[in-house]
Amino acid sequence: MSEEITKLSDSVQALNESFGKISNDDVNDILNKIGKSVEQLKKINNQLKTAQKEEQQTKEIAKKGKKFKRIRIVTKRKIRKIKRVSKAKLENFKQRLKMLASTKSFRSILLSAEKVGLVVENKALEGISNAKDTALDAKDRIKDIGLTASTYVGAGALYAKDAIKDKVELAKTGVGVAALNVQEKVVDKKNKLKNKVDIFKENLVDKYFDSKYRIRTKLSDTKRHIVRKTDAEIAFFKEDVKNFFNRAKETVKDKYDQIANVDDETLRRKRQEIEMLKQHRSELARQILNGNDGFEPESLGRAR
Amino acid sequence: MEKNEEILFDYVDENGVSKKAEVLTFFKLDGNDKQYALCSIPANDGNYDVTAFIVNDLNDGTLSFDDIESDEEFAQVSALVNEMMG
Repeated sequence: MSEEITKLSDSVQALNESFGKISNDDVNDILNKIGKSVEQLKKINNQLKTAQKEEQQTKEIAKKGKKFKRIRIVTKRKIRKIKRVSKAKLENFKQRLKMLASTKSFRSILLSAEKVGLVVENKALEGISNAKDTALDAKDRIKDIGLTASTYVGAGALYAKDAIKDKVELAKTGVGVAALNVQEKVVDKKNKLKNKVDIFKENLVDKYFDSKYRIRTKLSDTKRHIVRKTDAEIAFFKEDVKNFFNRAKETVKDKYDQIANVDDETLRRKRQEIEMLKQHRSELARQILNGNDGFEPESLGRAR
Repeated sequence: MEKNEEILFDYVDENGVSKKAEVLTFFKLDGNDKQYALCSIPANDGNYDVTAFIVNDLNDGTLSFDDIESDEEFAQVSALVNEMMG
């Protein structure tokens, strides 16, 4: 979940940065262009006014010229000629000047006015076009950024939504699976324990019945054995036991007498024999432990 | 300048011959406040020499036509005249 939240936060951050960029740069750019267009229009308007003023001045001079009684050429040298033309060409030019004079007093002013007018018109059109282009460009950019932002936010939201949904489903599935696993394990343990208890119970019952059967059988056998013994047999058995004890007593008494009457020399010799036997047994034990008993395994087996 | 009205003035050339010169038009150049007069002067071969002067109003009923002494200024005027006359 933290990863999705981070991605969504990044999207919002990028969106804020986009809006921040357009609000500063584009607005300043548009204002600058509009300001420049206005300045150009003012400048052109002033030029037009100047041209109109000059035209008026020239007209006045021309009017004066007609009234002048005298025109004096002041020159210190030979007049510099611009060009030489034929009379026909000169007359043609004069006709053209008269045609122009019907609408404008002077060709130069006409050219200047036309030029200024065209410049004004072009500048105005250019300014309008620039402003229009700038506005359209800004509009498109804002629209693009808006769409991008909208798409970005939408995609981010959908992504986050899907991711959250997936996570929830996954968590639900995980919980479900874990619960099922636990349930299965509990059931399994329970079954195993139940089986063990059942087996234990069965074994216990079996043992109980087996013991009970065996005890009963033995008891029955004993009872049957005891019942079969007759009094005579019991008396004979008692006598037999009595004789056995008497013989044993005699034997013990004889052995005691033999031990009590033995002389010191015999006793010493017996003790010496016993001591030798002990030593011999120890030696044999040592050889067997060292594997040097002098017998092969087969012979040892046969010796047994 | 009115229709069919000519501004003529007397001009004596370097040979002392008096001629009737004509002011074809007045004009201005971009970049200065001077007034110029475009004039035609009859040549000896039947053609006409076209030239220009700087116009000064002496306010005594006289217009003074001065030489265009600056070569650069004369070049500008020549270019304009050639453009006008073709």
